[in-house]
Amino acid sequence: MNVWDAVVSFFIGALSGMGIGGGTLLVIFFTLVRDVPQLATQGTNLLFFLFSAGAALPVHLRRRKLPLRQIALAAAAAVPASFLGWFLTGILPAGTVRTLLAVLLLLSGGGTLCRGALSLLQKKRKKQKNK
Amino acid sequence: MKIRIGEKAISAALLTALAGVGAGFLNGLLGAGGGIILTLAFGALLPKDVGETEATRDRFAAAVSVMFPVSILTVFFYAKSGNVLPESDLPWLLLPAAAGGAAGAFFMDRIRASWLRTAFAVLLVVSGINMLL
Repeated sequence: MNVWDAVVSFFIGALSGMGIGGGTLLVIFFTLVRDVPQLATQGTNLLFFLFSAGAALPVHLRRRKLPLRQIALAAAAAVPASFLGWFLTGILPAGTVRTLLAVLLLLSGGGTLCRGALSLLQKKRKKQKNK
Repeated sequence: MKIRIGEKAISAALLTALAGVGAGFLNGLLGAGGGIILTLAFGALLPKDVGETEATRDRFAAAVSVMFPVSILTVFFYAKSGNVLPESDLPWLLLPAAAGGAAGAFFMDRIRASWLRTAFAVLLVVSGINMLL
């Protein structure tokens, strides 16, 4: 790791804090640029999230209206499922995990692009109606 | 009428719990992606009367609030199995990540990030294809 990794880390953290990238940008950097092994990439990405989101969380808590009951319910349901997911990483071949991650990236990126295109279409229609 | 309200509350709770299960599973299996499921689920669950931009930010903040405690646990699992970069590398990543995260959250309300979001969506698709090849 060097100063360039720190610069990239700052910008990825800033984008994550703004809600861009779905927590996957560091995974892309590690997997495609730095050639870090798959599971180490995933574990370090989670640790990275704790620091970037941990720093962003107080700002969100102060500014946003958060549905605390739903947050508590979702977190309680997520804990055993995350254990199951991690357990499977020890059973599944790293190649399979990498493929699943690639599919997640495609779905996430494709979904964002589709939503953007739909929203543009709706705005155009509204403008045409107003004319 | 009361029964209907009850049914709505139950289905909302079920959807929340299911989204939590899905998000936790992805978080554990892939180390990423849990927030995507939660943001989608909260899109259906949270009120939209605050305007599109505010609603999007509220959904994101709620998703982060769920994933933060869950990720503490998942990091523990990954670290226990030796799947985190060595300690000597971590300050290069984690200190800038914290500074960047705080800056991103602070400027979230001041920056119109739709073009950035589109650029990164393209990056995700290209990276996904690259990883599959």
